[in-house]
Amino acid sequence: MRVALINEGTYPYTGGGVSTWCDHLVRGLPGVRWHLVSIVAGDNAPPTPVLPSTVDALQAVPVWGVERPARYPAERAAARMCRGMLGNTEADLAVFAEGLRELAFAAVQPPRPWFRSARGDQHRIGRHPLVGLPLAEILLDAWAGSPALPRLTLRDADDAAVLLEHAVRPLAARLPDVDLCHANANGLAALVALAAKWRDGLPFALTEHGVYLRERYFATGGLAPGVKAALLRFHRALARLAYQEAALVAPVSGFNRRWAERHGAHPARVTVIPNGVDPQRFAPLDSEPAVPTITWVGRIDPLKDLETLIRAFGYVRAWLPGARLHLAGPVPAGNEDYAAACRRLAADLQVADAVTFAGPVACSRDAFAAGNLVALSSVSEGMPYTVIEAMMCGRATVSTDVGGVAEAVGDAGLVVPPRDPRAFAAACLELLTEPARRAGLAARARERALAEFTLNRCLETYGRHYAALAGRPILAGSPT
Amino acid sequence: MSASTVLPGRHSALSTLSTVDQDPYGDLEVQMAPICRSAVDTGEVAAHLEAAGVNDRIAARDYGVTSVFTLAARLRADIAGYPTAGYAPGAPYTAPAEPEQAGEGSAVTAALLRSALYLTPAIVAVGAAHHLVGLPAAAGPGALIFGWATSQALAYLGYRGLSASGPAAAARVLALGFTVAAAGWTALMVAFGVTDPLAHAVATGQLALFAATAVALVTGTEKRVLGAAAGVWIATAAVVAGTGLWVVGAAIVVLLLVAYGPAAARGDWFRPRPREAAAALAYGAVGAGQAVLFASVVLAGDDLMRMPVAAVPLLIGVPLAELVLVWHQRRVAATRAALTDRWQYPRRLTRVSLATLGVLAVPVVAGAALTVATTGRLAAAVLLTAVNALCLVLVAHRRLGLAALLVWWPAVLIGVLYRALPPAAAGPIDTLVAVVLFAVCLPGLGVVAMVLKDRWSYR
Repeated sequence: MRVALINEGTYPYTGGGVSTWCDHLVRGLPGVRWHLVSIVAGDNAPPTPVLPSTVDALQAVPVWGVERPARYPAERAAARMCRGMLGNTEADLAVFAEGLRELAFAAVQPPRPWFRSARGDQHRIGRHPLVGLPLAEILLDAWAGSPALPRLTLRDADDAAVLLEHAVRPLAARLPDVDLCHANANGLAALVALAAKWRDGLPFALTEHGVYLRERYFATGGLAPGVKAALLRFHRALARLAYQEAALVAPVSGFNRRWAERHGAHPARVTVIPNGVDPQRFAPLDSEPAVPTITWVGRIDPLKDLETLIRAFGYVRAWLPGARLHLAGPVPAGNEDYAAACRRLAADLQVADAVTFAGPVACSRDAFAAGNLVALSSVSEGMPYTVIEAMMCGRATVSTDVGGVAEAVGDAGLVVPPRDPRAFAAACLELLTEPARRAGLAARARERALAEFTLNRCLETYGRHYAALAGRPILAGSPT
Repeated sequence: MSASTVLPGRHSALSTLSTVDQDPYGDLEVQMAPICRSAVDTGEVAAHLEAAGVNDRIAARDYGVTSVFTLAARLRADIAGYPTAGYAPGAPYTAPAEPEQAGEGSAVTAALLRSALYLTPAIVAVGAAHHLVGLPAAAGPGALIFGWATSQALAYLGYRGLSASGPAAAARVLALGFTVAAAGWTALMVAFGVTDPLAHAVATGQLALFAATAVALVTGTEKRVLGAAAGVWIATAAVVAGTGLWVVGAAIVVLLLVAYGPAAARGDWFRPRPREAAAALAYGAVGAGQAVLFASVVLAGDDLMRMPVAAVPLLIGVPLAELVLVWHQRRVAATRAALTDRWQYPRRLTRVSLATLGVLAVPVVAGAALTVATTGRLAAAVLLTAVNALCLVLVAHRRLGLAALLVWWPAVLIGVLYRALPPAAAGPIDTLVAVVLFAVCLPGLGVVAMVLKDRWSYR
C-alpha cells in the first residue's frame, strides 16, 4: 500500500510533537510505502534529513516560491471561490467547493499540444491557478454582496489577494500513484488531499493535532480587519470543505473532535485516535528524588506559559521551602527573550536558586526521573506527548485544562485551569506533600497509559483505517 | 473521578486563596468585549475563550451553557450585535495611519542622500580633470557607459537577492558581479591595446564608484556609504591642492570596503534564475541607453571641463524625479487604502496621474523655452533630465522596452548628428540635440501618461 502523508512545515524538516507522530507512523507501519509531501515556504527547502527506508520520496510544495501561472485564466472559478467562502450557508460552501475544484483542474491543465512531445513529463508539474488573475477586483465584487463583513479597502483587497493566491498554490501539487492521502492538518495540507481526491479519485484521511482553523484565528491578529476577515473566511470554508470531504477525520482528542463536528464533519466519519508512546522506551521509574521536585519538559515557548509555572512554584516554595523546579527543554530560535524573561521572573520571585534550566534532553524519561511529579502549564495543547510519556513512566502529573489534556489525564492526575498560578500551586503542593496520593495517581497513570496510549494501539488503529480506505489490507513487513 | 473534581477550589490546599466571582458572565463580557467587536465569527470568540481557560466544562459550570461555542455566540449577541460579522453597530472603524503622513520626511532625506552619492563621480571627474585629459575613450566614456549598464543590471539582481535571502546575499551578488565586470572590462581594454596603468585605474575607479552606489541603494546603507564617500571628496580636494591621484584611489578602496561590509556577514548566497538574469539584462540595456545619452549630451566632445555645468540639471533633476515618483506612488497607495468602491479608483488615479504628469512636464517646458532662447547646451541638459525622469517612471512601472526606446532612440539620433556635422559647429549641434530631446519628450510624456493611468502597472 502506498500512502501520501501530507504535512505543512513539520515532518521531516522540524522536530516537535507532530513530527514525532509522523515518524512513529512512517517507521511503525512497515507494510506501507510512504510518499511524503511537505508544504514549505519557498523554493529552497531545508536540507533533507535521513529518512526511513519505507519512504519512497519527499515532495516539497513551496507556497512562496517562483510563480507558475496557469495556462488559461480561471476568473470564473476564482469568483466562485471568493463568493462561496464569504457566505455562511451550505449553498455558499457548495459554490466555494465548485470554484476550488475548477482551480484544482486549472492547476494541471495539459500543455498546448505542440509542447507536449518536446517537454516530455513536464506536464506533471502543476501551475498556480490564481497567478495573474485580477483577484483583488474579484474579491471586492464578491465582498459587495456580503454586507455583514467588515470594510474592505482596495489595499486590503490587494493584500488579501496576495495571501489567497499563495494559499491555493498547494493545489498545484501532483501526487504519484498512491492508494490514499493522509493530511496531517487541515488547511493547506488538506488542499493537496482535496485536489488529489477531485483529480484522481483518491480517498483521504485527515488528522489534526491542533485545530488548524482555531490556530488561524490567533495567527491573523495583526492583519487589517478586511484582510483578516477575507483570510479567515477562506480558511473556514476550506476547513469545512475538508471535514466534509475527508473519508476519515481522526483528531487526536475529543477536544479537537468538537471543532471538527461543529464545522461540518459527519460524526460517523470522525474517530478520535490518541497519540501513543512506546512502553518499553518509557518504562516505569522506580525511584524518586529525595528533594521535592517538580519537573517540566518541553520547548521554552510562550504557549507553554512558564510564567504561570514559575509563579506557582513561588507559592509552593512559600509552603515547602526545600522544593525545586526542574525545567528541561530547548530554547527555540526566536524565543531567547522569552527564556530570559522566565529567568528574570524566577529571580524577581527569589526562587532562581531553586529553578534549574536543564536545557534539551535526549529522552524525556531522564527529565521525569529528576522530579517527583511532572507539570504542564500550557495555554494551548492538542494531545501533548509530555503528559502521556510521564504517565507511561509512572509519574503523577499536574496539568492545565487545555486541548485534549484533561481527557488524556482522566482520573490519573490533577488538572487545573490555565493561567491560574494559585490553583497550579495548590495541586502541586497536594501531590508533593501527600506521597501516598502521589503514588496512587502515578500507578493509575501508568495503567491508563498502557490501556489507552500505547504506540501499538495507535499504529494498529491507523493500519485498520488505511486498509478500509484503500479497500485492501496492509501487507506485512518489517519495522524500520 | 471526572476532570471537574480537580478544578480549583475542590481539593485545593490553597483553596482559601481562590477568588469567587459574583457575576462571572459580567466579568467575562468586560474581558471579551474587544475580541467580540473585532471577531470575524463565533469561532474566533470561542478560540479566544478557550485560550483564556474556558472549556465546555467551565462554560457549563460557571455560565450555564452547553459549550464554549454557545457561550461565544451569546457573547457576540450581547456585545457585538450578532450576527454582524465583525463590527458592532456604531463601533467606528479606525483607519490606519496613511503611509505618506509618516514617511514624507524620510523620503526627502533618502532622496538627498542618494543625490549626494550620485555627486561623488562628478566631484572626482571635475577635481581630477587635468589628470584625465587624453585618456582613451575606453577609460572615460566607455567605462562610464559600461559601469552604468552593469550597475542597473546588478542592482536589479541585488534587489531580488535582498528579497529572497537578505542584505548579505544582495551585497555578495553585487560584489561578485562588479568583480567579474571589472575583470572583463580590463581584459577588453587590454585586448584593444590599452596598456596605460592610469587608464586602467580610472576605468576601475569608475566601476568602483558605481559598485559602491549600487550596494548602498540596494542594502539601504546610504548614510554609511555616504560617510565613506566623503573621504573620496576630501581626497579629490587634496588632488586639486596638488597631491597625486593615488589619494583618490586609496579613498575609493576604503569606500568599497565600507560599502561591501555587509557581504562578509553570514547568510545564504543568491543564485538568479534564468528569468531574473534576462530581466537584469533588460535593465542593463536601459542603463546603457541612459549612459550613452548622458555621454552624448553632457560629455559631448570629450570635453570634461564642460561637464560640470551640463551635469547640474541632472544632479538636481534626478533626485527630484525620484521624489515625484515616490509622492505619486504614495498618493496611489493612500487612495487604495481609503477607497472601498473599485469603480471610483480610475477617476482618482487619473487625478493623481495628471498632477504627476504636470510636474514631469516642467523640465520639458523649461527645456523648450531654453531652446527657443538659444541656450542650446543648458536646454539640452534640462531636457536630458526630463528624459531621465520619464525613463525612471517607465522603469518603475516595469515598461523596460519603452524605457529603452526612450533613451536609445535620441542617443542614436544624437550620435548621427555628431557624425553628420563638423565639430566646430558646437552651438548649432547643442540646439539640434535639444530639439531631438524635446521631440522625444513629447511622445514620452504621452506614453508615461498612459502608463500612470494603467491600473495594472501598480500590481
